[in-house]
Amino acid sequence: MKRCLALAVLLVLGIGLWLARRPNEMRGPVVRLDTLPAPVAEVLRDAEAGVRQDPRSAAAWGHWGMVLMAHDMPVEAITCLQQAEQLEPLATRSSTARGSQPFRWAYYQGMCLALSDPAAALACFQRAAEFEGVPPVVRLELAERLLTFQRLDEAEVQLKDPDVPQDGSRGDLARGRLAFLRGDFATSGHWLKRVIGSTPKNRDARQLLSQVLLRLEDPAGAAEHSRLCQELGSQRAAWDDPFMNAVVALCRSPSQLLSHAEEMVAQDNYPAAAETLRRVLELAPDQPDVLVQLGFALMKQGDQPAAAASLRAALALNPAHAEAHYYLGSLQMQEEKWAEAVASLQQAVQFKPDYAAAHHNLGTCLIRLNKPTAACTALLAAVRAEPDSTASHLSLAELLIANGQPAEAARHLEAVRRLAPADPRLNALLAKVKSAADKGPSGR
Amino acid sequence: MSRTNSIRVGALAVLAVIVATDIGVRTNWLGSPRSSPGDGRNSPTTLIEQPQSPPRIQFQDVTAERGIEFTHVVAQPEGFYFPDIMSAGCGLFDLNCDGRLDVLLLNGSQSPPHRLATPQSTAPAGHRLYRQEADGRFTDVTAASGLGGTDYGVGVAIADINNDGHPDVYMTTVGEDQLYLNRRNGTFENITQAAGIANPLWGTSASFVDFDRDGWLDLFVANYVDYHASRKCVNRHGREDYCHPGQFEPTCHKLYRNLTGESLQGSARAGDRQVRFEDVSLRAGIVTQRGPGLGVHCADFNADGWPDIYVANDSEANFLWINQRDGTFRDEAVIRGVATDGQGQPQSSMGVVFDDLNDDGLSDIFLTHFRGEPHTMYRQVTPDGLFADQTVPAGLFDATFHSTGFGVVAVDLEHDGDLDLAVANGHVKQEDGSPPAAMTSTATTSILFASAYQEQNEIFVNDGKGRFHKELSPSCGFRSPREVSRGLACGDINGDGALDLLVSNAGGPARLCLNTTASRGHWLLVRAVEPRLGGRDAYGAQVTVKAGGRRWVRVINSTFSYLSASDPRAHFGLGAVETVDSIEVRWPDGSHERFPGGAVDRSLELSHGTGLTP
Repeated sequence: MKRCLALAVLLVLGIGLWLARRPNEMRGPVVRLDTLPAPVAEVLRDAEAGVRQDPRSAAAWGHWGMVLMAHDMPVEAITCLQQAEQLEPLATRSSTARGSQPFRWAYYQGMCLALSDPAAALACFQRAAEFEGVPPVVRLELAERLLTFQRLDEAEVQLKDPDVPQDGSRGDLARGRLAFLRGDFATSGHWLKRVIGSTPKNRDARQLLSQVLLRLEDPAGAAEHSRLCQELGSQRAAWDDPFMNAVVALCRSPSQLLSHAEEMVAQDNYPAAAETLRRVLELAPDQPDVLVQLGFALMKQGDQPAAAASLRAALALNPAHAEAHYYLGSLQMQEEKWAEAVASLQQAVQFKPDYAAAHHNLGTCLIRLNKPTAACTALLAAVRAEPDSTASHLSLAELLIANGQPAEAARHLEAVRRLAPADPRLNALLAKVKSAADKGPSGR
Repeated sequence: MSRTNSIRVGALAVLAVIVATDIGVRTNWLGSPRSSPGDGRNSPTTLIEQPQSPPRIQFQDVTAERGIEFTHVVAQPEGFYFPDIMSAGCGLFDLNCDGRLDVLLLNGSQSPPHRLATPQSTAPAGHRLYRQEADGRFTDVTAASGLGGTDYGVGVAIADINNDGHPDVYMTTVGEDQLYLNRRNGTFENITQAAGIANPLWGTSASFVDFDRDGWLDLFVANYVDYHASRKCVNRHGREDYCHPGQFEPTCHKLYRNLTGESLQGSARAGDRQVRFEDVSLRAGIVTQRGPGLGVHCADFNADGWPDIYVANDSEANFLWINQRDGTFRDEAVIRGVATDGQGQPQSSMGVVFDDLNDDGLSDIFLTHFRGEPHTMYRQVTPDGLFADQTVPAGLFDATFHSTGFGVVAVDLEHDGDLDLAVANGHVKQEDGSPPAAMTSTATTSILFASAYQEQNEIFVNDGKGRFHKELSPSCGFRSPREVSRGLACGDINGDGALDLLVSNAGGPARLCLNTTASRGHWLLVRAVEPRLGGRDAYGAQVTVKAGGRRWVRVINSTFSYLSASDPRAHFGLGAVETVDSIEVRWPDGSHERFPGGAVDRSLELSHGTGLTP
């Protein structure tokens, strides 16, 4: 009898466990597919179908969540990722054994929440890091979030985890930041110099190091790193994250593909950019901006006829597209069709009166057409809109010297001296100005 | 098994199921808690607003009853003309020196400088100037004033540029900025070209600052981006929306030196037609860096007695131009820790204030940001201008994460002796992806902006130790109505000693908000003037009030926040203190004077040269 009772209790406990583990609500998010671009709707429909086919599959729910993430729907993604987290098989929950990645779902939830609720995101990252043997990227993400909340001791625990490499730039930067926040500037400097040693273009490390060096009474070093930061611009180190890469790979949105193409252009990868832009146009045709960007990428690749065709297609859709006129003018300049280029560039500045680059190119064309007065007007407009344009100041100075106006030319060369003192043309033009000035008014 | 035993087993089993299920629900087996991602924040129950005690801070919207009727016109809502979502500012100033604050509101334009392919708004546009009368009502004096231009207005800076004691007006625009000289009869004359001002770029915030300490106020102008109106941007649903500044190249900022004094042979006042500025941006080093500038605050950030310039850049590192005392500036934002947030992340910086937010005698920087980035509080940690991101300890991280802040002022709203923060909010993206309705009139424009970009304005109350908590005021956009707020200016509009607010809204009505907080402490309002310089406000003067064993430091300044100009007087909330011990002023020329204290709850004017040298 007792054995029966025990068996019954065990049975019932088993049922209870099963019920407990069963997700509270198996319904996924409601996404209005009719408002989305067709390729996005299709990939979302496929992901949802996967869940319908196997509603108890953590992988299916997780994939749906990742597809939603890839298309910038974090709220909807979280619903799926929660289901995935709960459905993850018991055997894989406690560790990352046998190649499974059960921590992913909490990690992705953290990423989804990062821009709307940083405290909740932190809790998700903590949950992800509870698994044994999680990849360093998870612990580093958590450490960085903890540093943001100035929970320094907890961040240190993550950074000291045996799984986190003690010689990686991302970890070193976090250690440098941790030491800085504790006021230990010497230690902070040590870590930050290690980051810069392995990744010299890391703006974040240089920026923090300049603050550290100022506090260590090394103002010259601080100023130097500050200057290098300015040279690096706003580009930040993008740490490789295989989990987020997997999400990005699922993207089918034209607007997001366009963003990727823009990144490719920024990296001078024009063939890849052109290919991506063509994909965008296949998904969403007749977009003047995309056609202009494609024209630019093709121009950079050296495919001038295709570039011109793309730009003209853009202008057929929007005749007031200043950039399309500008790039068409640039193509015409390359072919030394100066008069045609002038017409295109005049259109560009008509539609955008403060278009410095168009004014500059217009001035260049007018010089070629031997119209110095008009060229001077265009170049003056260029430096007015863009006073830091060394090229425009130099062209203007050259023109003014040729026109017998050395004093005016000197003003523009003074601008060049301040903006780009090492420019090789500067000294030659300064010598010309001096020569013209020595000759006096009669030299005009 | 007997029947009894069967019942027992059955009952036990049911109990076990209940217990097991309950345990499972509560603990989510094997250590993976089944909490919602928001730890309750996103659960439906948190959507219900919890009952609160009545807010201490109260504002009353008196816009209509005081006679102000103004709606900001956007050029082209259906065309997503970028300047529409970033504009426009407002100003509080005493245009006729009668002791009462008047109101200037900038407007968009029916004819923006960029050629647009689609039809533009037909709604009436033009800036508006309202003069405050003795009874507190405002009269629209735009027509005769000369300030009612129909150019595309963005920001405003106000100061006396010719040292005649009357405030003059600079307007940034999308296109050519405009400089107006106060003719001392209620009218203004456009002297832009004659004065040597030429800024064809998209100007945003501007500030008058005597950077060379020659007694004549110079001018700094932040410019935003090289905007291409033909470029279209889409949101995540593939529908058109306003662009991100990263889509365009940032531009150079401008510094103009006021040359007026040089032609006057020692006289410190100028006639009407002698005002002259020189563009020294290149010589001063300002053009060596480009940035999408929005907010500007000029002050002495490194305590060397010379004014510096802080520029809040949108999505790029901010600038802190430190005055080298030789006519040049060097950007030291990075080494001083105010270029990016504490994680090295450039933020979408919009509005800026530089004030002592934690009552330690050192001014701190507060910046407003885009939704999804907390606003940042940089605490000054050394008296010579090193800063640290202290947003989290100040309680402002979570509290400011969910709104897009633009205008900001630091004022002691309840006169308890510490500075509170008021922030004007309004989004720049359609979060829900809903397509806007077609626009044909001002009314529908308002509907678009109200539905797609509206947010609640916010007040963050200081607990006296530099920690802030959010408090709602039932009106004036601080709870409702939600609007797309941009400009925010402060000043004592009704002369009751409490600072009131003027809010400008993109595509919506301006709001005049009187501070009606019931239980306020004592106060002091100090105007510091330069008799030698026409009696103008001593921009940059640092006023220190000592009373009750405490000291408060404020600076005479008009331009901070976002695109807006405020009453430059220094306002002090004194709490329970009933007598001021002394007032010290560090004048812009570096000299110090001490003035006697005395009674509280009054406005007073301190003249340079009439105090005691300490």
